[in-house]
Amino acid sequence: MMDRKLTAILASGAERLVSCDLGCLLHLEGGLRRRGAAIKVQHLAELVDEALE
Amino acid sequence: MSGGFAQRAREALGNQQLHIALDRTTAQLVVRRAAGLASLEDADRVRDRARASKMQLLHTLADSLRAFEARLVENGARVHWAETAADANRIIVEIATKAGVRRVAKSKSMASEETHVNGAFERAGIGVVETDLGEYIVQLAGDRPSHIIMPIVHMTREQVGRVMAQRLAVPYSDDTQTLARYARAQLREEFLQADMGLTGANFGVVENGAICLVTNEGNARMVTTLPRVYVVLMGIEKLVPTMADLDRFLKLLARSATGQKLTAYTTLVRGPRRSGDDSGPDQMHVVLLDNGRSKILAGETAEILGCIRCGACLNACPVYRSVGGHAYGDVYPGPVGSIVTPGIRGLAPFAELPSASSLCGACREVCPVRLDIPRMLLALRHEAVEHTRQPAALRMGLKLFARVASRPRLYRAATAVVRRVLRSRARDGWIRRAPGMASGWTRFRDLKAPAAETFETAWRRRAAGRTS
Ligand code: SF4
Repeated sequence: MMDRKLTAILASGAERLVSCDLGCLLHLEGGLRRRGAAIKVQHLAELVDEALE
Repeated sequence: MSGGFAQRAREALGNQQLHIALDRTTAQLVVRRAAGLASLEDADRVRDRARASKMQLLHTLADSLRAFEARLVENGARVHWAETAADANRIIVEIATKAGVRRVAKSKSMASEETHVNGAFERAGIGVVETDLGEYIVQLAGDRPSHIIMPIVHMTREQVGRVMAQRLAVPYSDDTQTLARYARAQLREEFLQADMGLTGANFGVVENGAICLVTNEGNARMVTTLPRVYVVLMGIEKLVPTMADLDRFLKLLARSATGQKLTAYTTLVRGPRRSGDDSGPDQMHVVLLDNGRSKILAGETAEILGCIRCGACLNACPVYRSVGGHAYGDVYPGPVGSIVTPGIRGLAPFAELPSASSLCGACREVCPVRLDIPRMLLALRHEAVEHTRQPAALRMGLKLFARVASRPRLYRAATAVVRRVLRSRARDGWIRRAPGMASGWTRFRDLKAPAAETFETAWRRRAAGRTS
């Protein structure tokens, strides 16, 4: 399941992956790192925080 | 059926052929369904109304069943009530023996899979053949269906070619047209020879007692008209109130199942042959099957009885797409199966099924009747924990967690220890191989080390900074 998702994410060419679910974030970021991919992974709150600064 | 879901799923994950076959079909069906629904004007409203009429009907199911029975009898059919699968099989075999039936032609029917009527026929010395192409191949291969509408989604066409070459003594081919032609030649004979036809029902219309069947191969039409005895085996929940409701459900069913606007053949049967009719059976019987449905209706998962067996939730489910239908261990696979199977077979032997989901909600999103599958899965998980035996380690673990988590001080102290251990293991904030119970996690992915500061302390610090 993770493999299918990661392949789709990488194929999209996105620079950032944002989600509201901590479990999903931990899972997907861990998988991306294992693959050596350099996409930035954030919680929605982090993204908002960054935009507000 | 050996082992539990987890073991079967593990085996399925290692099966390369299965992955090729599943990926080919499910991905295609997801796209077709989306396009199909997009072609329906006001699809959301049609879904809402379909749902409302189903829920209303379930609410007064007993009355609807009585009305349906009365219409059937007026139409000249005989009605039988079967409380269990065994009752249904006994009734059907009895009808067959009384009428001197030697050969039965079946059109695809989930209810008959549920009761395993084929075995009952065979034990009574009555021949039976499946006439749906997929089911026919399953029968030839001695296999089991793995999808509600695509019984052989787990097989590649190369595998089908080998089965046919072996069982029908025809030259091997992996061309689907040729394979369909082989089956067609065989099945024509079967239709003509059968003296009893057996089908399920996609819908039963309460207002006029019509039985509605949809197929893409036209086989249901043959099965309902050619043999001299015709039997319908249907679950008691398959009713719709009126023909106008039927119209809505047909639009949704075809689109959700295959993306078609309408299934190629829609057959409505309203009784046996009348004087003056050119064709049709001499007798028609309708067997109404409960088999646990009344129990489901009285419980937390009553909603699932609104399911029209379109299979969309299977195709959308990331778990189904990874492990296929056989892993679910019974007739109904996928998200819908994880609710129906414990309902009709009992939760204890299938207590793992409700947990075979990430609760992502893809099933609820595609369900034409908008069944809240994740909610029902959670309700069943709850029930499984309360009422069935869980492994001792899990029980103790949860108890311990509940203790710790309900005492804030203790919880903070415990997480501080875990945080320190994990951080000591990390390099650049990441752990490649975690110790003990966490090692399962790092088999497939890295684990992020906890932050130096918890969210709680960071929040306090920042709040303090802002006020000062
Ligand atoms: S639960 Fe919904 S999506 Fe799944 S098979 Fe039934 S009707 Fe289709």
